[in-house]
Amino acid sequence: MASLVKLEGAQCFRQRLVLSILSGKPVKITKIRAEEDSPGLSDYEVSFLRLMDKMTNGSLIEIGYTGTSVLFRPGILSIRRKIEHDCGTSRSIGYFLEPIIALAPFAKTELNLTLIGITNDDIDPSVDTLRTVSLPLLRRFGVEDGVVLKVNARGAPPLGGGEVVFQCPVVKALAPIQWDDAGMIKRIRGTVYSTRMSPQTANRVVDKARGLLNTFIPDVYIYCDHYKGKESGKSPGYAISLVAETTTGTLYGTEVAAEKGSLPEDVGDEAAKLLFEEILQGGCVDTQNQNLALLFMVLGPEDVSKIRLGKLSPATIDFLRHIKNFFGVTFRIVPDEATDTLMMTCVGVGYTNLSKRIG
Amino acid sequence: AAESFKARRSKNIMHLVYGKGGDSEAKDIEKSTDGKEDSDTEVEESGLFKIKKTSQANSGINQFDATKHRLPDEYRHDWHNPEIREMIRNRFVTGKWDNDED
Repeated sequence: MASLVKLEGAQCFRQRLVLSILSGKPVKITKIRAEEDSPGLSDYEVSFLRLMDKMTNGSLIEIGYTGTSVLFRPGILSIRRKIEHDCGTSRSIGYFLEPIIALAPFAKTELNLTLIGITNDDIDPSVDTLRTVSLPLLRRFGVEDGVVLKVNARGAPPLGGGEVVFQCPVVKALAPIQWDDAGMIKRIRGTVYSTRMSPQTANRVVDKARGLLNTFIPDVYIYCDHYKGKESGKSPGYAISLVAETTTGTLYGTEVAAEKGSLPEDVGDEAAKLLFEEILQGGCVDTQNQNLALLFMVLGPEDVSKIRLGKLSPATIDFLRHIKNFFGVTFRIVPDEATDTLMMTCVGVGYTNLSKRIG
Repeated sequence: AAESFKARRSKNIMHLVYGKGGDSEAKDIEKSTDGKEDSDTEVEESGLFKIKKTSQANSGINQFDATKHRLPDEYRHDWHNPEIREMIRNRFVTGKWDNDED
């Protein structure tokens, strides 16, 4: 039996469960919000546990009497049928989908998952950014055809009502990467979705964002996606997501979702500015996808993988510590003074998916 | 000398991340998990019950779980200023490149 990993607190809840499943090590988390006004697991964390239960076969989940402790003994990643999960409205679909993307390639069978809830908000990555930035990253590591994320209906906060379908093939083993050239930005693409409001709003967002982006590059195309009828969810809302693509295939993504009372012009302006900040970082993946790239490097073959990153986000730093806990892998981090970036190097653990047949 | 400086700096970042060894900030990170209860919480007595108040909710070991990292305002640049924009001009194919790159 693999040794138990003991952790404390509610931070990085999803990371911990994902790493537990992938490493096969059971995890016990105690002191979850033990001293706060609403102690214990929150509803979205319980919902996430349920989803993990659906994704695996034979997992054991024990939640303590007060809800402040969880014991998770991971089963086998085995999906035999279509899964459907209602994500609720306290966190968006991105909260659930992000860790699923990290797990899906290692399952027994192809994943076909339907998620219902909020598609875009400003806390978690939206379905647009996940589709345009995170999923192409899978291809880098050898997860080839058949990765599909389809938005059937939009769901803006607070009521949601969106629906997405995620399909992902399984992979035998990942490919190692040597990625130290972020390249030059050759084009910028984007989407503005709007639902249950005037389609004109989206145009105002696009105009403002494009104004700023065009000062650098003429190849800017932002698509307006207006949802009507059944596909429009339960609440009005709009959001912009931008992707800058470089000559070496690096993708920088940013997004801004409108809050109540925000001006379309401000939303567009903010998104463009955030994209510039991301470009300034100069990594080969953007801040939000650092975790995914690093995880796949660790799970890669027993070979050296190398990647250039910008500043590490707080979530990434936590993630690196957790990788050390679960897999015993430490990254070599060397700062590159000239470009103010970090070179991250590690040797993979040689994770192979035994259930994938060869040929 | 430059070599040794570089080596030291890379070590520092490793320490910051993995929190072992002499770096002071790394120690802070380690301490924040165990030394927290004594310093940050004050106990107020009201009647029968003791009410524990945490000075910062949602911090330390119970940090909010989200990977999306919104850059704090003080670290942002004024991108409407053309001079600031010049910083990333060369990251685009339309920018001015060095002669050796093509």
